[in-house]
Amino acid sequence: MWNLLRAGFPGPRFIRSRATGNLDLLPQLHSDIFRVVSAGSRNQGVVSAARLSVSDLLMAKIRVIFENGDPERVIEFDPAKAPFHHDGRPGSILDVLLGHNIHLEHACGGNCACTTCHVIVKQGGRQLSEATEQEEDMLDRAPGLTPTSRLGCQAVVEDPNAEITIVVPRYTINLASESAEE
Amino acid sequence: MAETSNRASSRPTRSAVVERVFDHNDDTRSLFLAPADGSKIRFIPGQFISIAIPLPDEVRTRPYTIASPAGRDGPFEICFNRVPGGRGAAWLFDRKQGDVIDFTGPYGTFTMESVPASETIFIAEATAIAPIRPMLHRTLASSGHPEMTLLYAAPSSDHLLYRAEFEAFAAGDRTFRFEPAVIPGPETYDRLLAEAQRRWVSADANRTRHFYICGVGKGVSALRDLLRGAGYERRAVHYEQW
Repeated sequence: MWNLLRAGFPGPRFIRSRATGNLDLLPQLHSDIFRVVSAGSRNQGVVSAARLSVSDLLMAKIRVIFENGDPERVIEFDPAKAPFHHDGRPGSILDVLLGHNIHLEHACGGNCACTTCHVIVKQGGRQLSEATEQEEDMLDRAPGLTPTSRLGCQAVVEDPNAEITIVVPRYTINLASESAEE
Repeated sequence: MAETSNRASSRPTRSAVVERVFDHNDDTRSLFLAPADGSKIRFIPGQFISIAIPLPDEVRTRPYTIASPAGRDGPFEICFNRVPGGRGAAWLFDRKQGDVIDFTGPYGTFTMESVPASETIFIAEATAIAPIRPMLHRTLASSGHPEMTLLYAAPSSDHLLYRAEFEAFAAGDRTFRFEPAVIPGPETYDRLLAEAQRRWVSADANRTRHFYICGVGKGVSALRDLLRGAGYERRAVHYEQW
């Protein structure tokens, strides 16, 4: 989808189905939309012969900003293909990042037993699963907690067209482990 | 092993040598680990270490709670059981005396940082006693600690770990009650929920108790919901769900 848009396509148009009430692609667009392969520079996409299915067009996107100054990363993925890895809830931010070779700490193995995968959601929070009481309890103990904090292992990308931006805090370690005096 | 990027925030890895292996029963084992650099591990009761499990295709990170009392010299203990299909536990079961294990941590927020001021109830099942044990040691060692109860369930008497130690605690301290219970696995949380309802919800209006609950599966959150729903303070009901 993002390649299409970058190449100057207006993006798919939707109509509401009378039968289901869902938003469907305009039928005539199915035959008009082709995969666009980026030629390396802006607006220089090449139209190939491969036709896109609806699921090809529904790509979610996570933009990852590292507070420690590491280069920003962008992941495009199909949430329906989760799990991408084996830690965290399938389709969670942790699952998606690890499955795309981006490291996010998860000392407890992605089991909602620590706060090392704490991320701050800057955009797209409503496109994630709601936080459970267990996640909220855990977040209470996270250093640098913000109103949009989530645990990467628990926040599942539910919207196939989600556009999410997260910040990985510089310090993700548990306060408790740093203050241990024993 | 898959390569990953952005490792800048990773914790320093430490190594520990397996100093001793102890089998509690057929499927439950403790490893006693000594930091390879000779240092003492510092942790808060309830915390875990994160062990790097080297598998043929990747390195997996798996948490193991420290079961030994905090603040002691010598090796620290992790306690675990075999899990069907669990590659981490299988790898740990293959470790022998003298083997080296890499880990980070300790981590975890299911901790007892100070001794509670009011009656405290500990509820655990089988190996989930691991975080509770150092909490008990800390609490019992403090003067003027509150009344405490440990309700500890397991599917067989063999799986009631550290039983003799807890019985000795109870024999030597009248403010500590140890209540072991052998309960078939599927019935565990029905029984624990019924007991919690009867003793700490229906029996009186006292809502000043503290609870530390550790176990496997959704029964733990059911206990949490029962107690919080009955009026106990949210932050007085501590739990860790494995």
